[in-house]
Amino acid sequence: MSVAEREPKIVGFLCNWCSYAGADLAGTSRTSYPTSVRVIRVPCSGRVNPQFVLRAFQLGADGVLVAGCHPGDCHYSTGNYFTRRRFLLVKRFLDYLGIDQRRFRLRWISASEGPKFAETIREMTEELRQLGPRDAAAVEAHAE
Amino acid sequence: MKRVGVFLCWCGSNISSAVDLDQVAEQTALLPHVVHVEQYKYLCSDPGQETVRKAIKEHALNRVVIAACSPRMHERTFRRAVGSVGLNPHLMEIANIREQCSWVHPDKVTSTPVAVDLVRTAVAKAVKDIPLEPSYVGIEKRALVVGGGIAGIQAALDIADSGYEVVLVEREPTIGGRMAQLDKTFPTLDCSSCILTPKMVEAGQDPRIRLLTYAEVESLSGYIGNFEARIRMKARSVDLDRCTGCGDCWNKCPYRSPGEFDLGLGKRKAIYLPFPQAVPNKPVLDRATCAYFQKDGKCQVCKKVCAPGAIDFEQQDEILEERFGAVVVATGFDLWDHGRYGEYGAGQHPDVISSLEFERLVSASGPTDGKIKRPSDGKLPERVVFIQCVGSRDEAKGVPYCSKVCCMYTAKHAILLKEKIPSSQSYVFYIDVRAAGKNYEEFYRRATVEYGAQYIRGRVSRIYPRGDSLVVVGEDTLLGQKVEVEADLVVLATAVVSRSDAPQVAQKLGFSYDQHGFFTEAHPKLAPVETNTAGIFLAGACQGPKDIPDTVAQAGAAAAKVVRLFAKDQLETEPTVARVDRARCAGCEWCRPICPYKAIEMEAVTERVGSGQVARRVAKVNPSLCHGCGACSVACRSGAMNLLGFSNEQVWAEVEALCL
Amino acid sequence: MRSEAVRAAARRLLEEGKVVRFLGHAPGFDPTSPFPQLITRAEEAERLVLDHFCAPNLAKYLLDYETQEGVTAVVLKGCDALGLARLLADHRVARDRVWVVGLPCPGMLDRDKAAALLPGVQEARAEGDEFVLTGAGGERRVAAGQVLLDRCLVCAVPTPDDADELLGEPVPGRPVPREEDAAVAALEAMTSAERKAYWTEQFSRCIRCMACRNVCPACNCRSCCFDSEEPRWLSRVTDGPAQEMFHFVRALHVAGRCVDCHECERVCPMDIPLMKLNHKLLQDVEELFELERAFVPREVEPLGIYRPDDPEEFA
Ligand SMILES: Cc1cc2nc3c(=O)[nH]c(=O)nc-3n(C[C@H](O)[C@H](O)[C@H](O)COP(=O)(O)OP(=O)(O)OC[C@H]3O[C@@H](n4cnc5c(N)ncnc54)[C@H](O)[C@@H]3O)c2cc1C
Ligand code: SF4
Ligand code: SF4
Ligand code: SF4
Ligand code: SF4
Ligand code: SF4
Ligand code: FES
Repeated sequence: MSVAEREPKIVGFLCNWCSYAGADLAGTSRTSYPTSVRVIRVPCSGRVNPQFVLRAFQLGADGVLVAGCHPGDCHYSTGNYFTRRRFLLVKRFLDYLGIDQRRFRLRWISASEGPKFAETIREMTEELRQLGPRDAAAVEAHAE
Repeated sequence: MKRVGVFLCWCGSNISSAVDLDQVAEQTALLPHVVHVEQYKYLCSDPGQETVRKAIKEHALNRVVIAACSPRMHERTFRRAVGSVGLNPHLMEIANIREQCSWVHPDKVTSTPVAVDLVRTAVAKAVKDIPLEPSYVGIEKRALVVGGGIAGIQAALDIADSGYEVVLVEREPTIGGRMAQLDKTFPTLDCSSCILTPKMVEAGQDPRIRLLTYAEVESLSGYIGNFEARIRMKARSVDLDRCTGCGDCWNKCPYRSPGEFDLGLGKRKAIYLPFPQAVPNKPVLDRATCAYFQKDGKCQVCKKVCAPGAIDFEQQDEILEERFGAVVVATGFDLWDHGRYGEYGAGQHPDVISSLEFERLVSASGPTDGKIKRPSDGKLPERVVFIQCVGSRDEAKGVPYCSKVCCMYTAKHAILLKEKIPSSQSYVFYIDVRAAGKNYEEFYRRATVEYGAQYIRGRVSRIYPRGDSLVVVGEDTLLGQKVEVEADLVVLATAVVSRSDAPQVAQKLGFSYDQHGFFTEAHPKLAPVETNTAGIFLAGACQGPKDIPDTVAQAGAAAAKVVRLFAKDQLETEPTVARVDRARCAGCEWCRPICPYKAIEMEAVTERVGSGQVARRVAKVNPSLCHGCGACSVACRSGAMNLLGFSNEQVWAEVEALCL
Repeated sequence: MRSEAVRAAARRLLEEGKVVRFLGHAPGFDPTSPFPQLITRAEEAERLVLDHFCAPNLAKYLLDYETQEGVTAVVLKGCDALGLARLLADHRVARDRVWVVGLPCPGMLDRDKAAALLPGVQEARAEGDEFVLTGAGGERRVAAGQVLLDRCLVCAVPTPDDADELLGEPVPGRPVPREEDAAVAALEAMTSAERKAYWTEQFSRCIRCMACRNVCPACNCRSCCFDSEEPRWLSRVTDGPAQEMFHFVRALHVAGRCVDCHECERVCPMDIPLMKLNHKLLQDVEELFELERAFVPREVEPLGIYRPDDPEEFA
């Protein structure tokens, strides 16, 4: 299988209370989505250290998704506001270091938004497919 | 030596039909630390759990991975199963291969690798699991209730009735709150004091309730189960133990001034009882209006006439320090100041009054003995205009929200007016009528149909005097034309707003409030009476506009939360909380402000450095307050702050295993 | 330049017992790279110097005396004082245990620039908008702009505003447009792949000497994540990903906290353009969170608070 055809790999950090439950709901309602995503459960999106995100990229993830409750709905009331601040910055910084910001997504997905979770994975998978594998692009640019 | 056992669940055929579990088992068996892999048809069933228990013993497993449905389904089940054979329940991880695999990836060829990855990741996490124990704290089984309106009274009664001690702190000289100022109450029109007074008396007499009136909470420290409050008892100048409430003092006191309870519509003495049913039924001496204090230190009439010798001019404020396990905050609401509406006369015209003033005018125990005499000349008004939404739903000058009670009490006022002055006519200007509540719509219809209140849809643009009456100019938006109504009295349904000192109260007690000064519940749906500070609960209009039924219901709920807490002897806290590595902690305090529950404090530790001892400050997590969100562990750059159960090393290992 | 003044201050403070130690600069192996110098007795004051090469920020050395008794006096320039403010905001140093001898700073020289202009340069003195460099190679008069450190060319805060005493009259800041914005913008204009290539090349030169971290007043952790065994945030090897991780983490850990002192870049032996990382974050912090002068430490760091109406890009 050539790199271009390989299914992209997405690491998803989902908060336990909303987004993980949303992903579960996609399951309970048998809403299928690409097999590209692998989920790591965290208590709150605010638990996601940007270092985890970069690590995932470095180990070969083509995309990283962080998902949490909608602003105002965080189970811990304010966690996702900090998440939002932090990742506004991190997204830009990753991009600045050459990790295309389209590879990183933060999404607010509630426990009732199973379809939104599935849709997010579909969209991301499609976008990542178009972007192609990460290293190849960098290697090419380096060679120029 | 880590010995991991992995159990793959078929979930009937829910998993096994879509995932090649044999292949998952095969690949999992190759992972480091994995010593046992087993499949079972229904792991969550009793025999399924028994399979796990047996394997733990047989294979001396010290880590367990269950590959099955979502941990949101059965995490507890399997923790218990693992715990029942002596393994720490937190040495177990779940790989969600049903909701997040077999159910969404029905094709075996593609789903199996996903399952393999998820199991491998769970194993990697389990390897980093450490035994976790809950922590316990004692509970001081006494409640503090702040605010003695109907909310505070109800909460206090409910808690006391469950057998616990309550201290009820009210800053006015009597309990009762706003409800005591009301005449009758919608939607049943029963008299407010008839239903309130018995509760006030009960609160005053219950041996388990200690009433501290004319008092305020100065500060609150500590945490759930263990709060410490400083309460200031303001000098009342009356010794409550001696006073019999005979009334000689306030009858003889020669000085009158406008009474707060009647909103200045009536007069009270310098030593006074706010209203006849006040609890405690004992007076307060207002030093600001008392001649002894303000003029010449003479007068002393009250002291002379008081037979039991209860008057004490020398009394000082007193500070009490008390311990509590829980707090209910019920400080109520205020009314918006309509002086801010210049077009309504800026509060200058005596016959443009607020709804609460109207309540005092209709009240049989009010300053006019229940005769609706208009303030300017005491005339009985024939034509009364009621204006709804004064300040409410007005982003520009007032508040954006709906005050919730005005539609209903305005209908009530129209009814009461008609009952008291049968020849009268009422006009109600409204934006729309919100009568959502049991029997509310019916009540509103009665006002219009039976009592002939004339409802005019539209906003009033101006009120101005003409002769001895008032002209109300507005727009009837249904007819699309200007209307002018001549009135003898105008009653404004001014917005329900937070108490002006609400932010300070919230800060003193340590919880949050919204942009309007209403106290914020921990969760708008699921934790409506909790604050974000564990052990502090909310009741009544301090949390947002509310009528009496809602207030009482919420007070009962808050009381139930307190009682639920007190029913335990110790507070067991979830073991998945944050923990500080003191050796690494620099004491920078960046973790502190991020915690939504104020669970992080600083503490001093002493360490040996060379031959001497030095003290340094480090962070400390109070496990009774920590909810385990993990935000602090990200704020801490050095990694000194970690979250048990989702530790840095665990998530790191998961990322590594997943991306393998 | 002010050597006499600093010696006098040290003598006085130590004699009066106001402080028990005094942190200043002393000549290093070569006069253009002075060392930090700690003295505890008035007689030692002679060793101190204060000249146009005293670029090193002494604030962070205060951490060494964190657990020792007594007040420490320290010589700080405007930029260094922001470093102290950083340590104060991070609760790493108590203000009442520090005596700040502030230097209203006329700008410090870049020894590489100076050496290029006059090989063997030993000394420099300011004359108006120029500097006179002297050394084995004779004397040379150069424009300030040619020889000052980059950071000094755009310095907004030459005079410490929290000093206990000042060695001279306050100096105004230089309202020069920030050139570094252009450097960041140039990188932003590249394609993602080009940036990746650029940084890979830059980072590959890093020898992980940790000088940048060690000098940084914002990197004041008691134990740095890079030294952690579990989890090993940073692998020991210095391959591409690890280098990227190191630089990502270092920069992100000072995001919103960096005081823009340029010390990290100045001390880097491999000339890694660290300020291009720091400035990117500084600019984004200011822009996204609507802050001004985000390099000035504040009570709560920008990432330690939020606003409900922060930009929403993640719906
Ligand atoms: C004009 C009008 C008519 C109404 N009519 C009706 C009706 O007919 N039917 C109905 O169901 N509802 C009616 N309501 C609503 C009703 O008044 C409220 O639902 C009810 O009073 C809320 O009770 P509470 O205990 O929350 O607040 P409050 O009644 O405001 O009581 C709060 C108490 O806390 C005390 N307090 C405040 N701050 C402190 C502090 N810092 N320390 C100590 N004590 C403090 C106050 O002195 C007060 O005693 C009406 C409201 C208005 C304005
Ligand atoms: S984990 Fe969350 S709740 Fe617990 S101390 Fe940290 S920030 Fe506070
Ligand atoms: S735990 Fe971390 S963030 Fe908190 S005070 Fe310690 S070092 Fe600072
Ligand atoms: S000072 Fe330079 S070489 Fe040393 S670790 Fe920092 S960037 Fe790398
Ligand atoms: S990152 Fe560099 S410029 Fe910023 S404070 Fe640290 S040393 Fe100074
Ligand atoms: S890199 Fe991070 S952990 Fe290390 S010293 Fe700097 S801020 Fe602290
Ligand atoms: S719990 Fe979902 S984002 Fe905080």
